[in-house]
Amino acid sequence: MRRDGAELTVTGTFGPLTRRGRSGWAWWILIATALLVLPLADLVLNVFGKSGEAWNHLARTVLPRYISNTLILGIGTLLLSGIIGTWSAWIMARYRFPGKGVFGILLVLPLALPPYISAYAWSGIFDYGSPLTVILGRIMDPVQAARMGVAHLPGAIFVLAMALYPYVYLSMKPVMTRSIAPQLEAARNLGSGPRALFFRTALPLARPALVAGLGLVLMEVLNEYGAVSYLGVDTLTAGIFRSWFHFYDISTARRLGGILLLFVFVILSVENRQRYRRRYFSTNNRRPSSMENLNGRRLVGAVTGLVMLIFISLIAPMMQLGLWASRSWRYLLRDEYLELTMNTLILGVSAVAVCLVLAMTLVYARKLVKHPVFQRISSLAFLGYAVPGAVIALGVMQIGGKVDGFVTGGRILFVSGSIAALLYAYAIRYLPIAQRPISAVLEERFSAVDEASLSLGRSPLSTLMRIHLPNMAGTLRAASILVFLDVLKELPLTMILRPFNFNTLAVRTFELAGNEQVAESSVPALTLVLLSALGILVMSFKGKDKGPIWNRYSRSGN
Amino acid sequence: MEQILKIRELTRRFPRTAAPAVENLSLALEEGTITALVGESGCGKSTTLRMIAGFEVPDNGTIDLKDRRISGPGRKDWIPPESRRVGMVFQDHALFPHLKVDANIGFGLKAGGRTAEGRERIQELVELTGLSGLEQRYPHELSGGQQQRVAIARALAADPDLLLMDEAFNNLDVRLKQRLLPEVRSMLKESGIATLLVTHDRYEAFELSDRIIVMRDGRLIQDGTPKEIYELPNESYIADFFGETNFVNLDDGRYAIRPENVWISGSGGEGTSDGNNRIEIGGRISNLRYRGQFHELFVAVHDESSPLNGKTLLAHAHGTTRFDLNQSVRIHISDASLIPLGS
Repeated sequence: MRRDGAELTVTGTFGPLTRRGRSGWAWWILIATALLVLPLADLVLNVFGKSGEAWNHLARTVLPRYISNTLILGIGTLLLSGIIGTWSAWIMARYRFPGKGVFGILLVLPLALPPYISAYAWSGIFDYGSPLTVILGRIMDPVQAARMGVAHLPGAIFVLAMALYPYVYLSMKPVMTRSIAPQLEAARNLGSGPRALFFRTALPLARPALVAGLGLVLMEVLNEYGAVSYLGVDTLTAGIFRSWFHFYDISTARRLGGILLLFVFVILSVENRQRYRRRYFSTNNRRPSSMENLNGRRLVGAVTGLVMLIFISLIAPMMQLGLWASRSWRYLLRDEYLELTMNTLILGVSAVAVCLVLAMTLVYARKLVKHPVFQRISSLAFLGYAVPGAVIALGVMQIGGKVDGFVTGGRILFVSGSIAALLYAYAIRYLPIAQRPISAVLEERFSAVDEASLSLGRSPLSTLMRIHLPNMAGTLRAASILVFLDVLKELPLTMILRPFNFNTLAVRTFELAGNEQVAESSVPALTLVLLSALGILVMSFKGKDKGPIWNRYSRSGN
Repeated sequence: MEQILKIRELTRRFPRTAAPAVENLSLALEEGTITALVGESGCGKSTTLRMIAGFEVPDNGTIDLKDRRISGPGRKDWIPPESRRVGMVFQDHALFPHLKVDANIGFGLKAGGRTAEGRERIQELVELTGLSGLEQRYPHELSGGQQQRVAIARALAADPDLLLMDEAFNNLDVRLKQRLLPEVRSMLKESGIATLLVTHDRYEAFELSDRIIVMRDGRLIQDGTPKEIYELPNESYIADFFGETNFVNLDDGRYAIRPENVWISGSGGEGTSDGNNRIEIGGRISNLRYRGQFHELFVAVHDESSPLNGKTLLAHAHGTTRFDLNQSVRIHISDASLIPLGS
């Protein structure tokens, strides 16, 4: 690559690297991507650096447990959420039965309930003297009943699977309803009964969607801190926080973060291979698969299963939260509550603004520059969603510290420990969520319109502002809601990077629950859950048949 | 000939639409014949096919296949699609992308065709459909025409009682279609299976079928051989659907005339005139278009004594006679080429 006046040019099979007048956009891709990748690159390199005494001790003692816990938790959650998500998607895609519309919404709503909040609720449900343990105490040995609980590895698997199965459901359902509908009809026509239809045709054909959904589940499991720490399961992520908050040992924390990143790369590469396989499927199928009426025993079985699933994943934890909130509703009147809510909203809106501007300009730059090298470089910028929040936070911390050291000699922490650092980290993690729906519209649909506008003498920027922006209201709204929902629930990243004494609903919920004030924590927790549920409901109604809107959850969808 | 499929008074209404998609449809198919169900999109032909396959449940009426009730008013009458022994070739083929050609063809056989008999049957169909050498390919490694053959072979493998084809040639380009359709017809004839195909393409219907059933707004409006449908359509809609048509009103009613039956001669009187012509009038060429195999002539009738005076007729002129714009010509239409349409 050589610098040639204001133009970047490389001659080769693809012609000049950038076209005349597009070099500004090309630079933007390079700069933005570098900023977004830098914190992670730093962390990866750190894994291969020299290790300290503390690390060696950790590696000998607790590291094997961190890794085995992470693996068991991951595999267990994958199995349970995979089975539940696939089953519910199959029932919803294949059969007609009364009340189906309501189930369709209720099956997605557990996404409003972050795993750490369900962890508190389920601990409460199993608490000594709770209605459940009283009933269990009558059936079995009361001491044993009181000991059951969820504060152990199987409990954590249960809590996480119940909170995360909607990712699998949302990824599989459109595929089972539409993409593979012709093959399902062909299989039935060739004599496949219900069982054969599922195992011989639906499951192999929907496998890329299953892998995509499970990939999201696994990323969330690796990201999870609140639930595992509350339930006392030492995972790698929990280890990062322990090293950092209890031992102030940042180098060990970063090394653990690096190991976690290696896990993420494995997931991404597996998922990528599956997506490669998916190319051969016809994607333009518009007719949904023909559904069957469910009746008799199968109807009772399916509806009972769905009702139980929704009761366990949604209604029971909500009832527990409601019970607590009825005792501690006075929390609403405290100044603290107002401040938390305002902080959360301001943070959410700012993060949405940053992510949307970045996503629009990067996606458009990608489209204008249209060079495979730049496509590949810019796709690095969209990997952050896979990286656990704690890991991103560590990377940003490090970079911020270096900048502060350089500018003020480390006396004032104006980058690290500021709102700016927090937004920087959110941008890394949530940019891809905004990018996906925007790409689907901007990159794939409007090519002729672009060319028309440019041929009429508009500059690219003016084309973006005057042609695309006004036409993308729906897409931008969807992207905003998705980013906002995630920032709302975000815990580990915010915990590490928030300025001193700055609290969000999520962080305060976690603190209160950790301080044995779990009843009080239910008020910010419920606020958070209800806000999320509102966003999800808006999405479910607006998003009907609009393809890319749920892309955050169904990466195999379009 | 024995009737293999009997449909009586079949009706299907979709929610939130006023008119039924299929209304009181009755028809019967005979063994070994290929029948085309033809009509515009939305006329109910696909719905009919899907009801026969079992993917749609009729609101009313019965379907009998080989003296076995497969759909009817009673709950016990309804046989699910997987137990109907009806083969189907789908639009876009719907091949299984994760299975090779032989496994696709063997899908409907016992154990997926992995038994000795199964392998033999697959081989038979590979030969019938001309797929030899491609057995180990995946569908995405085949051309459109080859995929089409796999789809047909797969539907025929389990030896169904009836074969359905749902707009099966839609995605093939015109030249490929021209080559493939005669081959498909001979494959189907060789296997001897009764076939019902749905299409909106009249050429496909002419090329493949022994019999054509025309549907409009969910009803059957004509049923006959391709020749009958083209030469004796019983309403102007059908005449128009199956070819370009002149509609004229004569003293004794309304008639359709195909443009290839409108004979044009120079004003001097040369050209064909066998004396049996019902119509012999003068006119002027108001527009002409060259179409390769023939000229398309638009002739404005100038004849005070004719009921057609002032009307423009379309004629197809074959051969080497030269015509010019504004040339005065004679128009000859024989009695036999007047298609009566009632009043």
